[in-house]
Amino acid sequence: MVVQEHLDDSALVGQSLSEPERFAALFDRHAEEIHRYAARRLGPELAEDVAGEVFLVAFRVRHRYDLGRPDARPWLYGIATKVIAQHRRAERRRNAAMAKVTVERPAGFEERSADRVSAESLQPRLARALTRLKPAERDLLLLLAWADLTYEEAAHALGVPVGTVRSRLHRLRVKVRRALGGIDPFTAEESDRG
Amino acid sequence: MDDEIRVFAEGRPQAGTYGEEARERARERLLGEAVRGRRGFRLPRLSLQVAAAFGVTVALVGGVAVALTGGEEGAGRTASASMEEPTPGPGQFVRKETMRMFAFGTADGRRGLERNKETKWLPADPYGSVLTLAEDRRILPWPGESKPPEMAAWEKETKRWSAGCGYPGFPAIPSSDPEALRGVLYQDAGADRDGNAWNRAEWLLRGYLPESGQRALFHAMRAIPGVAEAQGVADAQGRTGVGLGKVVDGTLLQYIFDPQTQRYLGLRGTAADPEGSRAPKDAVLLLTAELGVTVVDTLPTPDSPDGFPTMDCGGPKDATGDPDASPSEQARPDAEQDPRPSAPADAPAQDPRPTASVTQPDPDPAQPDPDPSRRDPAQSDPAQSDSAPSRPDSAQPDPEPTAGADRPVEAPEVSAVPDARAGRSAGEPEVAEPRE
Repeated sequence: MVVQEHLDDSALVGQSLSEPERFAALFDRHAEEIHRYAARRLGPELAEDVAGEVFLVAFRVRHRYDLGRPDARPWLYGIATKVIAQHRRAERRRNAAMAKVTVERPAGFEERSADRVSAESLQPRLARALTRLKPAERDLLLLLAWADLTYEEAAHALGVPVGTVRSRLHRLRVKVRRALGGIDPFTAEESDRG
Repeated sequence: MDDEIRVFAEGRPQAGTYGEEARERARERLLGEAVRGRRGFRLPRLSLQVAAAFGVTVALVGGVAVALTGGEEGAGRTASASMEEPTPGPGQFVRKETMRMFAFGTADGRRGLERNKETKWLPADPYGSVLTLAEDRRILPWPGESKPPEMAAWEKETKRWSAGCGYPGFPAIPSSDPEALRGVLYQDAGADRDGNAWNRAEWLLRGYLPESGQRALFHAMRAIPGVAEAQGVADAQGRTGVGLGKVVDGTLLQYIFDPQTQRYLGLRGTAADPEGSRAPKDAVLLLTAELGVTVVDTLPTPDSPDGFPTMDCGGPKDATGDPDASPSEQARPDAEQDPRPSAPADAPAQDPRPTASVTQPDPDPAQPDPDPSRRDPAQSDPAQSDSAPSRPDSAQPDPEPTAGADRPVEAPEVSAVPDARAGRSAGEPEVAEPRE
């Protein structure tokens, strides 16, 4: 479907400066993935809009792309993070709703079936943990966990030094641990590490 | 991977695939933006050519705007005729008013002309979000056709706020010297350097240029090979001037300048080639008039508690800021700005609509005086404010101004208002894209 497949992202972005249509190839490459990330964070309704918007914004700021980076994904995820931030209230509401599922049900095995109510929902305990995080922490956590970015890529996406990523990560891990504590065997693993 | 990360990675919710239709629509919009960026305006058929050149299949041409008509608006608006050289300082905005008519096409082949009055607030900060208000919207039939009845419904959206990036603000050009400006126009490499220079000139005119810059641009544009000069070309206000013209995709685009001062007056687009423009020859498909610019200190008062739509337009990364601030917090220092309306002394009085909200502060009860805590995003912990049962959003510093009037933020509402989902707030399309 896409011509010029052999070109890396930076070459495409570079070409798009003088031939803007080239940018569509970047869309073809990464739209599915960005959409998936948006859908996980905001749900299917908003994800379509967000994905489209991410590429429009990316197109408009493409002259600031660091052409030394062959992979545009961290850059696109950074833009996606900002676009998603415009829907922060919707995200919060969604997380709060998903977190509530267990609260309204007796604990125990019922909780598990509730977890399976929708595969598109986050497990309540995880959703609850997300609501305890600051937006910047949530952004970082989900870039690492759902977008599979490395620390360095996440730092690039968020426009902060890697050191900031590490310290932010440390704080959010403490919060996540606290939020998940006592609910899950996960805490046992956690204690191994002191 | 850390366990805390892994538990989220393993628990990631499933995500459906990008719907084919939505995906095509988004892609088409992107291509439209790309082609408009290149040519200023384009015709529906062009996107098919572009797609073909790309080796891809594009089934539909969605929301492609072409050009426009009308001009009976003319008389009555003369106050803008004298244009000083407003110079916005840090934090200020250039408020620019334009009368516009342009053609549009929808994915299913319907087409028409839209006329509106557009007000843009261009921030002095080159990376600031540009706010656009379109109002007094009217839908007119395509030349030689009758107006499809459903189009009348589109007029019900009388005001549309949108945000965008990438409009050249101040200073858009480094010099008022035509020769230096010529260098600016020809900075793009590529096969069609004259075409690129023309595109860049169009782009400059869509943003803000002080009058001296407009004069310089006039001389630089007329020196581009292939640009034809015509006298007595009328803009949307009926003002006539020198038209600098070029046929782009079957439409003759003429940028009209005052014959004495070389001030930019407006743009006129007429069908030159019925095949390319898909309109009867000489039909007016595009017509604008610059109404004037002023420098203002603030944006008007939002008419929605959600505030205005904004766009994060990037900007130099500041690695030394609050390490916990998100990049958008750092990139948009003015996002925290007190939205309190004030009455800039130089706000023009002749236009009651936008200025009404500026000169008559009407504090929105839903947005009381900003809580001091809003100013320090690092201080309050969302984990705590989130637990507050009511209005967590107002209690919590939300550095990214919420989406505004034309962008519902709640998912159910978004899906219920398809027109508002058209991604309009993602930026400001140069052309309108009414759609179902």
